[in-house]
Amino acid sequence: MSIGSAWSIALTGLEGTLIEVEASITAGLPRTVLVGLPDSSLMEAKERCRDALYGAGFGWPGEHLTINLTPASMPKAGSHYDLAIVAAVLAAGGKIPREVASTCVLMGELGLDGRVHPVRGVLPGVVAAVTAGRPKVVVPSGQVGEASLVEDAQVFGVSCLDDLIEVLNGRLVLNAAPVAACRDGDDPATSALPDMADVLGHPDARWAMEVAAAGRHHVFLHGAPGAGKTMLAERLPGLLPPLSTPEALEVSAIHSLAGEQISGLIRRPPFSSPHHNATVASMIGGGARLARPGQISLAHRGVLFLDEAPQFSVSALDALRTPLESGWVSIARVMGTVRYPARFQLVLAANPCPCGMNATAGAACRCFPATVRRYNERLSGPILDRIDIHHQIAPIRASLIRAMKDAPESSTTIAARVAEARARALARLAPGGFCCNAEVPGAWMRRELPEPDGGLKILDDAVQRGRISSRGVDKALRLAWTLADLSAVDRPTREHLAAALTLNQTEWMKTA
Amino acid sequence: MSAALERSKLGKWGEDLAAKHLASLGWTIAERNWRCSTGELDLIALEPVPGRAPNLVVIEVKTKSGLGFGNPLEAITATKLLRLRGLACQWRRAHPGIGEGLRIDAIGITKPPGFAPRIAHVRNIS
Repeated sequence: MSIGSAWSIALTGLEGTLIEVEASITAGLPRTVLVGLPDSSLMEAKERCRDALYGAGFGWPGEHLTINLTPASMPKAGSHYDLAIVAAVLAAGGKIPREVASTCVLMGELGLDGRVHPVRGVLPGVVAAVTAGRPKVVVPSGQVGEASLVEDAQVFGVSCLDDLIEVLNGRLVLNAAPVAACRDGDDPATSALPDMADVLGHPDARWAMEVAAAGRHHVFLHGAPGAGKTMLAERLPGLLPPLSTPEALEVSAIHSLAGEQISGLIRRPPFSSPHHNATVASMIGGGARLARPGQISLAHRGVLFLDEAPQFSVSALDALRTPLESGWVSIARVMGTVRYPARFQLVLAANPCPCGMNATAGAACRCFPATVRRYNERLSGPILDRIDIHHQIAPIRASLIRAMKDAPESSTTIAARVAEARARALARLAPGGFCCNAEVPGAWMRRELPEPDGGLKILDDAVQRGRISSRGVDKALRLAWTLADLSAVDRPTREHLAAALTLNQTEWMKTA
Repeated sequence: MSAALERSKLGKWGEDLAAKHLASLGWTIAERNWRCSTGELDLIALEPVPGRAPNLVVIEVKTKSGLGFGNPLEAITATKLLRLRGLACQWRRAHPGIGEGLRIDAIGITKPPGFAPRIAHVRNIS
């Protein structure tokens, strides 16, 4: 009996577990048995590996071959175990030295012709390997850039089985990270981001978006069709500061797991705008055996934009409630429960009614009052309660456009102000472990931060008159702090509080 | 037809070679190509065991000319093995009192043209 072993990674969400792949050859009829709770895509690995090894002239053991994936009690899925299986089989047959295979962590799928195909989740996999103290990783050559994003990883890229055998024979060729140059630079896609300079007029809406960007506040844009809601929402990511390195790693790992090709760290806050027929599973993550990240996780540290929000199914909208609160989503499936980060900035856009003309000056709404009411009721109270900024976008007048002599401010100018405001907020909130105003719990804010300049009388009055709830007080305070950060003062003034109250009140409250 | 004939000739040649190989190890061939309604057993032999009655062994022989890929023994699938067990039991019932126990072995012969044949003997495959 001869045994060979190699290592690979099993991913449960973003968490990776080292898996030892053992191959043992014993006397008996030629037969290959794969044990250790493989799923069907992994079960097929033996056919791929066998044909690839025959193609490379190594052949497949003519005896009884048992391949075991330990820990054997953990369910395993995916096609990325192929390279580790081949390495273990070659080591068991004495075709390669055993020491090298048993120190490498391998991820990659094999084709029948011996080519190595890219796989999902290389980035979180390599992070797990390095954390577990096995920095030598073998990945498909097209994913060397992705794997090299992990510090301390020694990455070997292989494009075919022959490359793998070279590596396993100890003729190691470390791949210099080809993306090292753009690693700390920004995403080349930045220039393609839509610019605020394209938005004519709407000074109030531009300001609301700036406040939202500065404090990471959730926004609800209300307005007639064509007023510019979508245009404004799409420009929000361009106002946000780039992600820090740990954030960027986390975001890149989620996108790698979702099967995207990662060439460098994702530095730009992601933007995700699912269509309104999205299911609960596509929103929060799903899949038959082990859930994959959904839209809210793909928008982690970025913006989740729900256009035509009342058209979304009520269950899909309500599924956002817990992640909005916790910044995480846990999804239970047959093969285990996974937890994905989902700290996103929510932007909702809605027409005032199905025909879109309700409450628009100079336009006649064709809807029955009950229809308008039903339409607006689709957005549940708990969701709306978590929105800090409610903004009504008025249709722009042609005369207004002509009246504007100066070109509108560009995203770069606004982003610079936002970055300054964020820096002020961070300096204040760092002791509590928060990074922006929207994240701060009310209790902490009231205990640790100074009272606004001029006292809280204006808020007390609003509570007295029943205009805001106690949760509304916290929301107004958070907004006031963001406004203070934007005006570069040490604490909010009475004017900031008044502006905050206007920003966070829903339309019917303003008219009431 | 000629290809099928070639194959059956190769099979017959392989069985002869396996019988010779077993005889050289001191085994006694009890029967060859035993047929019944459900199939055929290639070789039935007695393996000498010092100090007691010989083991009764049913041997399945597989021969390949070595031109194609693969191990001749790969042709013995789980279904085939099940049928072999049934046949072995039938033979046993028809011939009580010969040898001890009942074991199934497989012999794989690879004969690439122009090279000496290679014999692989796997014991107790059931």
